[in-house]
Amino acid sequence: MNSADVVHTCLAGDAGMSDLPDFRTALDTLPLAVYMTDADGYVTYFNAAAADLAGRKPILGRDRWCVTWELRRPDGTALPHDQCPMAMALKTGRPARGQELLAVRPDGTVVLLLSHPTPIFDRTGTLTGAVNLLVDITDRQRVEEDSRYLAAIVESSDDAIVSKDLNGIVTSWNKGAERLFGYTADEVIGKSITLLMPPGYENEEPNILSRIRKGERIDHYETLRQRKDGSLVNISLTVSPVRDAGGCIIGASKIARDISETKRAAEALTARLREQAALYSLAQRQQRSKDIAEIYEASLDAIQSALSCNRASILLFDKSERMRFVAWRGLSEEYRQAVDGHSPWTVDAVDPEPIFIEDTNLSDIAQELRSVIAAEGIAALGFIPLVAEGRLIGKFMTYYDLPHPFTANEISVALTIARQLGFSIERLRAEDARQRAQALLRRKEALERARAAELMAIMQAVPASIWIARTPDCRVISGNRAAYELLRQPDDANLSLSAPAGERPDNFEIFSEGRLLTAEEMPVQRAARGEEVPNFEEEIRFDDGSSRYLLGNATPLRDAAGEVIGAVAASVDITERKQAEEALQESEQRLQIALAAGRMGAWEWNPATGEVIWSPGLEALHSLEPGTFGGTFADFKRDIHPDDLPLVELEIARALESKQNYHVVYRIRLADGTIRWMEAFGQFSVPGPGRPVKLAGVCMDITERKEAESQRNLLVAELSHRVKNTLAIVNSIARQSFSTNPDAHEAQRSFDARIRALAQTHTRLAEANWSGVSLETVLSDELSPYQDADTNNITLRGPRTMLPPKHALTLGMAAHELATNAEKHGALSTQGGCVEIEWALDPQEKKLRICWRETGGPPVLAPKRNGFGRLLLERVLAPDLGGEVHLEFAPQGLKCTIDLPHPGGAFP
Amino acid sequence: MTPAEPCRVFVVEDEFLVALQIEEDLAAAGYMVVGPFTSLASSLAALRTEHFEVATLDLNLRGEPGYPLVDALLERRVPVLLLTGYAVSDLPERYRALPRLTKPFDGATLIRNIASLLSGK
Repeated sequence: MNSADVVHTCLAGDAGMSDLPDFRTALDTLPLAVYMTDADGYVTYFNAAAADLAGRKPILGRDRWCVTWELRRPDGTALPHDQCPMAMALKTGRPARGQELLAVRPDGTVVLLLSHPTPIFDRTGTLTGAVNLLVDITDRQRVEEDSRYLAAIVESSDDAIVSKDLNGIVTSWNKGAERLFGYTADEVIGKSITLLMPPGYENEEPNILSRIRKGERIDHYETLRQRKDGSLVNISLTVSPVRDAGGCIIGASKIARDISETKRAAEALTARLREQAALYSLAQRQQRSKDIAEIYEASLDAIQSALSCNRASILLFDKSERMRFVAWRGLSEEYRQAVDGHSPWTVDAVDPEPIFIEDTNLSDIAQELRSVIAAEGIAALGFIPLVAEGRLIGKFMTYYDLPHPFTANEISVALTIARQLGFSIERLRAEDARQRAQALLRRKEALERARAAELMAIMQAVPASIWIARTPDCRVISGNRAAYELLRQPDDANLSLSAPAGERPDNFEIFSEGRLLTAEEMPVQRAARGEEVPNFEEEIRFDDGSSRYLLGNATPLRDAAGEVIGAVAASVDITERKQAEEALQESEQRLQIALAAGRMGAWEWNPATGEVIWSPGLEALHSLEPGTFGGTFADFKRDIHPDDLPLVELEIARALESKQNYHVVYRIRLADGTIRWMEAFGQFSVPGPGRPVKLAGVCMDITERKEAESQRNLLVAELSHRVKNTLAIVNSIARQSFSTNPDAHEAQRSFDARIRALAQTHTRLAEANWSGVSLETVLSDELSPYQDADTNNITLRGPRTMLPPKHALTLGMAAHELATNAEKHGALSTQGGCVEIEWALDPQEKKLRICWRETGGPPVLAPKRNGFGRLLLERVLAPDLGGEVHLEFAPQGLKCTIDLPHPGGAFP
Repeated sequence: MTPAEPCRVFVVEDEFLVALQIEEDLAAAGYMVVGPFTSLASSLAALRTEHFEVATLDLNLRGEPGYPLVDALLERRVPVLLLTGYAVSDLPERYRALPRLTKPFDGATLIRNIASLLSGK
């Protein structure tokens, strides 16, 4: 009984569904499509399965005969709904069973179904409607199709598909099996499958059968079978148990596939995979490796694995460009030593090709190498060049115990490994170089840091002020301790005068050569513009009025490319030196002034070099233009008066020898012939190490002093002469006075008077500075004691006539004698007597005539004896003055005429 | 030298009062005075014509130095006695060694010097 029958039975056995809601619910959830119509065929009920099958939701009371969208006959022709089995059942009142129909859903899908309509009659036998059960047989139909399809597949499959019973007896044998194993179905069916087992595989079948009996399935079991022709074939076997309808295992089906090709491919693939794995592993290890030995090990592993050789080696050129073993596997010490340095390529080989010797016995290897190779048991070998950065750096070698054909694949792999190894060596070498460079850099940096620290310490410690600008605009300038202290700024202050107001220092200003400098004119700023500023003097004037003077340099700071990136300046405080210098200058100036005022000059003589330096003042004393003095000792001697040169040379020699002060007075003769007196003082400089002995001193023009001295000496001599002459004269007067006059008393009186007269003239001469006295003065001095203003007894008449001292003295004495004679015996001895003195100058003849005439006195008598007066007049005056004296004792009075040469003529 | 042939003394003295005294002193001692001459010119002129054995000279002849006269006398190897008021330091070097009497002097000294000069001849 199928499910449709159950439904029919249930429905048929019941009066109404409405009466049985539980039953209705069961219908609703039934997985079979069920619908009902009334007697006219209009749908009155459908369940969810019916709607699903129809692919639409039927409309109750409107859909008629069927719930489907469209119906077709199994041949595909359209079947109108009113002709469908349900319609026929309603119309005929007879049920239909299992008519095949195709229902087309609104979405176009087609469902194959079996229709089971059943008319429903009430108790009276009246048709009240029908119920239809639709069974979807789409899948069932597919199974049948599959079965047919499978049979075709089995028959046409390339795989051998064989079934056997539990005893291993073949029950089916397809075409694939015939092709694979060479036996036809007829030859095999009914025989044991062990027919296919090659020797050594006899145990396989019992194992397979025992596993099949246990219901196990054997998947893709690879094994070997023997064909009918005896050849072996690799197969992949899948064995599945075959059960009867009751589920009992009755045999096995097996599918065998020839996998010889697959196996070869797999082996090749495995080899590729191994190579790839080896290369991958090599790449991995090389990538990770930091050590060249590891690289070698990894490379040897890869070579051995990928190239299937059990011996290998790596050789690299050493510094002497000789190929050396760096890593190896399975090579004896003897072999390595024997072939050491052998290489098919030199270091400069370009694009070297690998060399493969497939059989050493067949190759043209040099004999001694051949024996070495043979002794090592090597039958084949490969030389694969290692290249890094385009240059041959070495090779790796593969060694085979047996002759070995090198496949293209192997060569390719070998080249790949060589490339990898080359890269790795290159990478490690680069890394090594980089590390060494880094280490060097680090050492350098450490050194730089140490140096920088040292420099910083030095910078802080030096007594010089240092300024540093780290940018070309000098907006910020820092300094060392000395700089901050000098500028009276705190350690963190910005010392730049270019800094913004409020940040820059404002307690000082900078001057140079008396001029205020702008910030841009500062040495450090000039240097920051690329200028070297050497020996710059500046004055810092602080706001408290004090000043410091600096002397320094500024230099640009440049980066490695030579770009100016700042500047540094260093200065020393030269204030004290400057002040000392100024003081020295001042004192030198004073000295120069003093020298000039004193008509002095300074000189210096270096006896070692013969160099003589004269100050401009000394040149002036020698009437030389400034700077024209020749500068040698000979130049110095040239002007010295020849008479004095020996003295000067002597003094210099003495000073040189004794190192005592030098002092000499000498004359110089100037170019115009003028003689000047010079007085020189010199002193040896204190000799010091490296300091030559120098004689330095001053020279004074003492001509005036010398002249004054000589004048004074002359005066003194003259005075001495005069005084002594005068004493001699007095001596003579005394003798004459006393010898010519017997009356001692009288003689004494006369002598006194004569000395007084002499003294009188001396006084006059002294008053006139011994330049001379007028004749009138001399005469009136002698005559004034006798003058009588009332009688006008004395007359002096003559032009103003100046007498030289000698004339004045002699004429004074003569006048004294004449006057005393007149007073004693002549005109002045009586009342009414008169003395008339007249004189005249004859400018042409340069003569002076003096006439003394007495009148009104007592009668004149010739003198009884020659007294001093007459002696003086006649024997002294005339010779003394080179003139003539005429005495006339006329009765009316004495007349004396004196004619004298007179040098000066008339004085104005 | 005998009194019959008095020794001749060349006297140069510009101060005639002094010359007078010298003359008297020399005459008193038995000498014969040639001169006295009072100027350089007259002395030099007399030198060429007069004969004498010894000379007394004043070095200042009316302001003129008498050195040329001294030189001329020395050249003739005539003993010279300088009679002067000058100190020795005032004299030029070469004349400092000559016999000299400083004014004022007395007659006896003069005669002793003249005699000494003559005896040394």
